[in-house]
Amino acid sequence: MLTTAVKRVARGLLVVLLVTIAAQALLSLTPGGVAEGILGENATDENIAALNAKLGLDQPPWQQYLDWLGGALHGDLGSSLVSQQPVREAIIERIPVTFELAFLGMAIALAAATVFAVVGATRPGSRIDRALNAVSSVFLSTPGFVAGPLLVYFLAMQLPVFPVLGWKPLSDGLGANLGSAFLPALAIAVQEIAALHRLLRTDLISTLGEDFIAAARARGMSGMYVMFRHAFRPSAFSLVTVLGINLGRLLGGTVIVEVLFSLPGCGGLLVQSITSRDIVMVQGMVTFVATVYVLMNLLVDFSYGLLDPRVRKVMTA
Amino acid sequence: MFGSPRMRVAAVAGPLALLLAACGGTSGSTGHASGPSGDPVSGGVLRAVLVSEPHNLDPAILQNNNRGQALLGNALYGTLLTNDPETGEVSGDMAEGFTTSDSGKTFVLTLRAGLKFSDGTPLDAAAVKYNWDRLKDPTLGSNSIQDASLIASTEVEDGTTLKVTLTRPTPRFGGNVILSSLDWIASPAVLKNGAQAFDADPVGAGPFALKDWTRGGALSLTRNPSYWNAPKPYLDGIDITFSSKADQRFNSLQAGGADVSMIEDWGVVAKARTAGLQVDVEPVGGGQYIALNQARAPFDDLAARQAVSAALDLDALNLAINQGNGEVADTFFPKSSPLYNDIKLHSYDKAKAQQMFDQLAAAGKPVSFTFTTFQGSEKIAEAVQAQLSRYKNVTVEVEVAEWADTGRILGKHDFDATVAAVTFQDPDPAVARAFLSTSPRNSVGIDDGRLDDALKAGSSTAAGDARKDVYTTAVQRLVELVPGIFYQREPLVAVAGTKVGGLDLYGTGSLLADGLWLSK
Repeated sequence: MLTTAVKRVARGLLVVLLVTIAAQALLSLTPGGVAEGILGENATDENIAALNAKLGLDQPPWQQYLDWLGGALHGDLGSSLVSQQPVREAIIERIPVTFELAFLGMAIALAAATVFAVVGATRPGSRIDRALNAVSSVFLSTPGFVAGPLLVYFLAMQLPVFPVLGWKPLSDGLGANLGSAFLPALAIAVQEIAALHRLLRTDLISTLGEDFIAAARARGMSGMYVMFRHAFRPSAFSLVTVLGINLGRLLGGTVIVEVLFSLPGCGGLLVQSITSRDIVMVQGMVTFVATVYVLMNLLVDFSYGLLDPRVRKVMTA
Repeated sequence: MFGSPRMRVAAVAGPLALLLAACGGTSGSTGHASGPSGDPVSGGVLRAVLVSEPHNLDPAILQNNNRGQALLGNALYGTLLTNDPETGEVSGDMAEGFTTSDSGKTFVLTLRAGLKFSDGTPLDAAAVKYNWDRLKDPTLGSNSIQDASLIASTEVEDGTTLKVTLTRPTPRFGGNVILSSLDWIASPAVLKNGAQAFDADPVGAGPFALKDWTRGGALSLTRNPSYWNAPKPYLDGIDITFSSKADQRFNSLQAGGADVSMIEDWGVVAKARTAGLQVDVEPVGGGQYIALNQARAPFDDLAARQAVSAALDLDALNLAINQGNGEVADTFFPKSSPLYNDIKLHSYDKAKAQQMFDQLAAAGKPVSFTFTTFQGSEKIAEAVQAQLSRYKNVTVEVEVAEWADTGRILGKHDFDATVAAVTFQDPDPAVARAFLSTSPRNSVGIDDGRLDDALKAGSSTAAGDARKDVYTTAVQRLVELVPGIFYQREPLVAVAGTKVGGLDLYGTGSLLADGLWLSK
């Protein structure tokens, strides 16, 4: 078990390293640079050369990468080339927003998807199941950049309950914080509801057809008890996998929604850094996102053992 | 205002005559609603939504225009000078005077006595000297380097007097000050502590001081009790958020989530009028144009430029990009300008355009070009492409570039056609910066002796009919040489709820902070 865990972590670290190399390579290949971005209209060759020298960008890309990696291995992710803000500080500043959005969005999605799936799986093919499937199809084809403006129109403008944009930190009070987080979280949740509902419904229908479920029903157990005590856990494998992967993606930054609602999260920072070619900030963000992804995948892998003892035995063996 | 993230294709409102007829704010503005009447009242926190968040709070980095962080800069650092948006006349604010006695070779800046930064240290001539001298450092990355580079030297004469010597006579150098970061002075001592320390405590002498800033989120300002111009500021504070989407900013205003915003999209301006919000439009000249690069084919050929210009129906473009709400730039100067002339910037002639395209093709030079546009400005390029597709012997490709690539594309003339803007109340320095052959910002590569002479004369001629004449010549040359096709005025617009008083714009859509107030 320990050996397996160490191997997985080592692979994860390798993935993070390769991702940072790829980020450096890709940004080096794109036209324009941070100096041109900063100087804008004043980007003469002399000014660009002077600013590149000042920022240490007159070195070849591999040298820049090794310099950055040397610092990163000592816990120093450097400072933004554009704002001079330390990268670690910038990420730490923005993590709470992105994490709150991701977890809140996923919680809404999981709650709605569970209700949809349980209702549908209990009466597969019924009118209500078909109706829920139709709703799910609509949700699945409604990306965040469509859901966001629609939610703003109905829940912030027609019915001015939530703010159109902006973020209120927890220090402003829980109500204000949740008020500013709800619409973006709902915009994130829309597509996730569809994905989770379909997976869970299919697995539940399959599980409910198993012999041990028939046996449980024969013992006179109620439908809901059978559903949540016997059917739900074995049906949650696909759900946990997708939940973990999607949560990892969201924790890396809910880009579109953050930009749409002007939220101070990691996604917005990543987009801003890429467009301004702020390679140091991009590297820091990429390292963070890749690490979150790897960790989420590890957690998903190890959670299988918790869900099913048979998996635990295989992993131990 | 040329190139850079300020170059964008916007959308449009009603004709200028109509814009100047009604009144919403104090800047020769218009709108369907007006602000509160009566004397300003103190108190309240105003919620503003600006277009773009600054990377840091150094006044050298902030951009003094409607798409930048003008309100923030004015709030933190105050203004040395402002101008009347109707006439362009520059007047003193923290500076009592900014005068020249030798036709603009040297200036004397006279500060008000007793000015203090918010930390109690004096804002004196030495502080101005430090701020102005550092702006010339190219590695600082200041958008104002062009204006600062006109300064050859600065000399402190006493606590309130700074002598400024320019590299060339520029009688209206005050215009450069109000259009740039030269207008904003920060504490030299705090600037010397480095960017991080400065961002934590940006010390200026403006009506407000920083309370807190969550990067990517909100920025809160609190009243500066030691502001020089009591009883201003009237507000207790200003909370600023940022959104690059004009529609989102308008939605926030309409839903009551914000009190004031800058809008750079004519279509959204029209919505704001319909919604009964205050709309303060600054009357400006020039506008947004399709820049045609004369440094390479096909637009090194005047006939190709004239053909494309004649081929475009600007009303149809307006319909495509602004749903018809735009203000087409039919003359170079607005009617309110003392330099106004009635020379038409553009004539649509379908038959003539086709004839020219055919002639060029017959001469072995069929017009084929790439329209390089930037993210968020695709509409104009696509609309031009659609219009030109109806002609024979002309082909257009559309290429969407990232904003980070703006400097390279414009600085190295690496485009055939792109979007640009030259916007002004007084044409100097903006027009010379865009079209003078020796200007580093002359991205279209225009090089015309008569135009150069006219622009130089316009820059060095003080005022009156002589100046009007030279600018008439300049406009004629611009029309004849077609360095670009002006398709709309740039919207410099502040939009506010009806409870907001004291909307006052100067420069290029720079909203003053100290006069703002909220009715109870």
